[in-house]
Amino acid sequence: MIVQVDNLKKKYKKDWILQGVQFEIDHPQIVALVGPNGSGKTTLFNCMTNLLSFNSGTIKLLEKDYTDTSLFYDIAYLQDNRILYENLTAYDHLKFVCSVMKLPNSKIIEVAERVGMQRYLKKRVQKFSLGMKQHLLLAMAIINSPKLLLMDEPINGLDPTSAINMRKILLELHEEGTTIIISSHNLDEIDRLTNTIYFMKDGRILEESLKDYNTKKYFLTVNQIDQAKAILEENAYPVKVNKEEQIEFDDNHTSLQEVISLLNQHDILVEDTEIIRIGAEKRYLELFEGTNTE
Amino acid sequence: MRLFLFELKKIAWTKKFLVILLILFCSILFLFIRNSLFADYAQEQKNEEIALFIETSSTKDFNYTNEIETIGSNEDTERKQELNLKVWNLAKELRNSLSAEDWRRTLEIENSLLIAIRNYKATEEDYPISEDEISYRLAMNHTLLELGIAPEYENYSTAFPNFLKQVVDVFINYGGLLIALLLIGEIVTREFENKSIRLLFTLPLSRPKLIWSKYFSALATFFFTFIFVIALGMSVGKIFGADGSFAYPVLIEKEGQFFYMPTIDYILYVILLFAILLVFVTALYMFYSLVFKHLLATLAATVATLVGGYQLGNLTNWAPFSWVNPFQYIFPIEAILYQNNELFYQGISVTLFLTLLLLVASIIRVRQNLE
Repeated sequence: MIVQVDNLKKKYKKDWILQGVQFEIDHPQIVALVGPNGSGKTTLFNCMTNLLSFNSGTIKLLEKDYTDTSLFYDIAYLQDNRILYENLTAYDHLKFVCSVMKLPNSKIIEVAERVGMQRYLKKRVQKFSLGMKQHLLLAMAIINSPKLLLMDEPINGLDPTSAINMRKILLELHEEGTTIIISSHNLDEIDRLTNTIYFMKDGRILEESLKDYNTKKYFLTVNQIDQAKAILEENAYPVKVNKEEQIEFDDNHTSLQEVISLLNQHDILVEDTEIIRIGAEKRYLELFEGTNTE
Repeated sequence: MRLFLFELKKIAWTKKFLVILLILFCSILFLFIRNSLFADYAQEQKNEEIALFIETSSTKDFNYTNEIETIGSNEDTERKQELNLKVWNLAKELRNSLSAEDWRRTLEIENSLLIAIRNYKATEEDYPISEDEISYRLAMNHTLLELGIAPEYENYSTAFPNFLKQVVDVFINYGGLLIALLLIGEIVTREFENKSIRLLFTLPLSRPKLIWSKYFSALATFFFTFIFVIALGMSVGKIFGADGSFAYPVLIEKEGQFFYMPTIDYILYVILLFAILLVFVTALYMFYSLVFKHLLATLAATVATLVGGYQLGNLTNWAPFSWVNPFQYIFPIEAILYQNNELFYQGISVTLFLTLLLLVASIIRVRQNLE
């Protein structure tokens, strides 16, 4: 068993933040944790990593008790960027993690290249943008190729290119056998990563498989984006251009084949097509519509 | 060790630490320049004091003469006039001897003058010097004569040993503890406040080890700062100052009497007591930082405990209390200079024992989770 959380309850002052959280992960996969602010996602991560105590319940990670510090050789927790030391460089951070994990320093360059942060490896964190800090946090989290990776809002502050790169890395890690539990408000990204989503509501987890939510979203990369958009709009297709300069539309009223044919007729080349389910957003709205997120 | 080195690196590259070192560097240079420039001022103060004695005795003599002329001869008045006249003459003699090379002769005259003033004050007449000051200066002059060491103006000395003593005194009296608290705060409390401690808690590091490394790195950082101050004081004193002697006496008051201690012993004892104070205060601060996890709250609790403990020690006159009072070294210089009810080393064992208890309590606390 990779993760075993049983009836976890956590009270803070007078409020129950977690009210019997229960879930198990028995094989490597990507699991998304989705819920409004204050639903207990970060508290759950903090309890799992022994940063917070809890009132009742049990947690076992990789068949070990959650308090065992040796677990952190195999588990990484990507937290918010306040854990970084402003006056140290990215290299200092990675070197320290390497020394604690008993890894060779050559891993630093390796991970920096993988994350795409070689340019500012020797820069101090105080000069970092939000995205650069997220890169460093990711590099620190994956430097030891963990078996279990917990990620709290890792996409926050990332530009589209970095977000795509992070997605690529996470999918690669998953291929390599890492179990990833990721919390995020970016439901598009979640849909691209997994269809195993634990929606958190009122301190409980509603385990969901989104295989029944088959609405699809298409992302087309074309050679003439403005012209393609104009043609599709002229023909009354409800499309938009996203931040990544892709044509974006869903399959409710539009057929992918029709769109590609139309563009081909106008000599516009479709270079790449990406298809994702958009179950997360749909299910989220059903569960949380009208929920006060503050 | 790697954690300890990482902790040192974190603090060494902060602006705060570099600014503290720069301020200390400038302060020591300023102190030396001040001593060089104001050596004459100290001499002037001495001349002014003698001039005041001469003027006082002159006025008093005039008054006694008038009194005798007006009221008639009186044995008591005549005796006072006679004693005053002796003081007057010795003060004039001292003034004349100040410019002479023979410092021994000057000290002997000054001692005679001080004894004459004491005898005069015994007639219940006032004179512009206190009995405590007379006792201190007589003891100091006797010691200097006995050791054969020429006197120095201690507060304006550029002689290497006395300048070093002054640097250590000023650092410990004005800001040493404050700088220590600032540095310890940066290493310990700041981590809780800005949550960076969570990085260390989610790495395969045992929490007790983490506490030990933070404790020792806080001490190492401060002791590096202290060594920096001493080394700089020594360098400036040695390069620019006069030779002087580490045997120069420092007077210690024990049960109302003065004893002397060579400057080198004094410096070593002060450093020892300050180090023990630091070891204790760091443990206390670390414990409070684990309780409050907030810089200002931790600082306030630490200062309140130290001040409260020190006041409690002052209120208690029971001599054996010194063996169980860990707060007596908050002013380590006082603990050495005034050993009236206690000896300076009596509190060392209890302070170290309490330090150990605080560290154990901190480790128990850190084994629990962060809330």
